[in-house]
Amino acid sequence: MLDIFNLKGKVAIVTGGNGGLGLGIARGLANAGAAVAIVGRNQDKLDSAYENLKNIGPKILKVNADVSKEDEVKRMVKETVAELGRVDILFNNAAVSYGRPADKMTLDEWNMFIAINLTSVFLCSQAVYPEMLKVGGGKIINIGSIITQQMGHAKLIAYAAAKGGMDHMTQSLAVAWGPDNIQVNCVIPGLVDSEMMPCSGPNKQSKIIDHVVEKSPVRRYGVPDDFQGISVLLASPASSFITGALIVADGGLSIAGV
Amino acid sequence: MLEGFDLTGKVAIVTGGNGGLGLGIARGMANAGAAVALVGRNQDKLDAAYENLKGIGSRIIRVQADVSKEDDVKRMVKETVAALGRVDILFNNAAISYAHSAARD
Repeated sequence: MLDIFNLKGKVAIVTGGNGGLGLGIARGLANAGAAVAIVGRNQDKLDSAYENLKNIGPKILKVNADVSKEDEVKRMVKETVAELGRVDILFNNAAVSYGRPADKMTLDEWNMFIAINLTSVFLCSQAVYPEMLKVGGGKIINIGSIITQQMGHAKLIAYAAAKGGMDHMTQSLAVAWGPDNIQVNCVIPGLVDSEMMPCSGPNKQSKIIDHVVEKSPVRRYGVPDDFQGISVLLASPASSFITGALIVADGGLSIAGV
Repeated sequence: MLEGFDLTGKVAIVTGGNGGLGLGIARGMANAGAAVALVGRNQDKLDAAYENLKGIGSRIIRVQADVSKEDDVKRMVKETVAALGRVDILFNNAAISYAHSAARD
């Protein structure tokens, strides 16, 4: 088949790879032959993600780490290299989001949203850089949000700030590390069924989801496995001419008008 | 491997597929298993592109057509369906461009 999508021999880190969209990313990378380190703070979620993935691809490694903390990020990279030998690919997918009114959010909450959603991208990217140089290049993929695509939300001002920052950081980091053969891109997902945004089951946000489904050109919400293909594309030699790109994957939600 | 990228059984039309970027597109489609209709105005370029691609993938057909002309476009689709059975994918790649002063000289 198409060797340009083959990730055999490559090692990927997926932050927040223990659930939601991150699990779809990890599954895609493992299916394409990569060894995958899934990173999260919740050991139970890590364990169940491992059970879900362990028979796919060469190896799955669990790393318990808080990617907003510099020491834990350094340990994350160290453990990955110790167990899997190298780092070729980093998916900055870890994120938190919940609504807080703009007039009531505390500084501590603001700082937490920025730390987990944006500072983590800086910490993780910087930590993998020397490892990517060792293997002659790499791929960094940031997972953004359609909140940055003219789709503001009244109760997500910190999340929006962080994701907007991520878009622009993607571009500048692509410029910075292009000469090192590191491509840096951003995938901008729409509404994806996950812990962050349950689209089905008892926690389903019914009013939002029904409206999204009706408005979307694809007439459905996303699922984590929708991100297997694009993850493999951006992690593989197939995308060597793509860098600094912001790629919207939202079933057309953000471009659908009235 | 990854079935999601497998285009076996699919049929793709690539306008301007007889050269340049279009040839790269057509090659990718063929590599992934699709049958490909190469479309262009220039028969020599179509023939050369065909020679370039014919060993790859399922089938390559050549369609000579000017995609700025409605009748040609309808014929392009008719010929593709007649030869390859269906249309799943369309690459609108045909283009021309040349440098020219914006001001009237």
